[in-house]
Amino acid sequence: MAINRIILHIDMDSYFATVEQQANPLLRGKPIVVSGKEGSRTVIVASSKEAKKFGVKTAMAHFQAKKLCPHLEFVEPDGAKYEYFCRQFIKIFKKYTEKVEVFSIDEAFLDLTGYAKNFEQAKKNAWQIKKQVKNKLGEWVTCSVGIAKNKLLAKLASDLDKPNGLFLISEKNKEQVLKNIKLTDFCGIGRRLEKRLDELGINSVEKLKNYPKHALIREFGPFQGNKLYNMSRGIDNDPVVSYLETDEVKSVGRSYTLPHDTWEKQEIFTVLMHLCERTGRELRRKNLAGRTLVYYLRNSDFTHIGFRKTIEGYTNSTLQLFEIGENKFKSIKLKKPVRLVGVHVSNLIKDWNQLPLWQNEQKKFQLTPYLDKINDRYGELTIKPAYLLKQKRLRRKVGGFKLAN
Amino acid sequence: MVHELINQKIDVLVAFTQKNVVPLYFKWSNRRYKVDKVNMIHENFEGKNKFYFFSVTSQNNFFKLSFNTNKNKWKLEEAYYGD
Repeated sequence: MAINRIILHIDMDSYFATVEQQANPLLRGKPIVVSGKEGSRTVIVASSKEAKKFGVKTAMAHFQAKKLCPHLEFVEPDGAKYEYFCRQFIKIFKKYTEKVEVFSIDEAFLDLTGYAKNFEQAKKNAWQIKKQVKNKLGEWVTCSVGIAKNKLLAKLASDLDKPNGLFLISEKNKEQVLKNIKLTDFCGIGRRLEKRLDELGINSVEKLKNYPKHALIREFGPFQGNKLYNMSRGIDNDPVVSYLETDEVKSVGRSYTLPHDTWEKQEIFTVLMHLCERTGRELRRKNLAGRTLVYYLRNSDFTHIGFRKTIEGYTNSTLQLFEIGENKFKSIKLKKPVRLVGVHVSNLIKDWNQLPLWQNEQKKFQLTPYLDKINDRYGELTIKPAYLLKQKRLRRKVGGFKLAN
Repeated sequence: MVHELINQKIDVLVAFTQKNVVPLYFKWSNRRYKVDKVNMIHENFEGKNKFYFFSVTSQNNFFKLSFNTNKNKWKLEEAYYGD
């Protein structure tokens, strides 16, 4: 007999923006966005409940947002603060179950199966969690909770009563809920998939449900086809994966949007060196090394250039990552100004610790852990490649870096 | 509304309660500010150096104070003045 699961999806409402409003009460009740300085080239990272009422959304450009809401206020992101409070609410969730899947910095799934007898008890737990979140994070911070028998429906439920809501999808109301939602309300159906479905004449959950399974598999392949078939019926057997058992990392990388478009290769190489240092440090911290290296530049018109290289052995060395990228980009003639630089390392191996063959390489290899220890002790880039000595330093922001003066 | 990055050392009068460390008053630019409310406290590390950040309000103004646990020094990081 299948076990009836009890899954909670907890979503912090307008997380970054409410945390800022909690810190600074003068921002409360006002339309604010967390983003770079007003007029800068970054996009909106998060908008407050008040800004959302004007139609201001995540990933919108500043001028678009200002058009919708002329009195919008801009607050610069403080990633450390958001990470700190994320750790605090995860601690609260862990009082209720061991199975907590951190889905992103502001949302998590909790599997209360075996911890709550039924949905009613799960609802009581959810109210307690909401209260504790408020006590710990502050009176302005709220979360929305969805309860259902699987992750798909629980996530859907948390979106149905926002902000500060609690919504339960049970067998009683499941069909009704599925009838009233858009396809894109499902986690996993984005704009592109919506378009492909639309081309097949599928523009509602009802139509998706009535579409033959074999035809979905033929069109989207066995994995996606089956998933879509199940979605339309509210079926999802994916387990809640506790962060202790999370899948191994598949790739590590960093990218950075420049404060202005540039033709200057030196500026690009400086950013590349920072990104390689960040990527190398993360690989080394996780005891990983990779073989497939991807370097890319985004042009001012959002077209891309870049290359992929699979090397003989594995690497997590900052200098090796940089030199490969630098050598290749030196030979490329820029046709358009560049707005973003990125590097990614995949094809990873764990516990890689192979001493290089050549003596000069061995010295660098043996030195790296000590350099990392110094940076761990005194902060990032305390000791850094000489290449960066005369260059401006990049300061870390949410999802990227910022050039500091 | 004016937002300013300050980054200046300050003197702070603090209460050590059983639960928390609470700044009560601070002196900045020869002026004494009474902390009306601590809205948020969070921590961060720079290397192994631990910082506490206190987001506080004083009258109709917002201030962000930091305490460097390694150096035992307080700083006024930011100010945001109300209307």
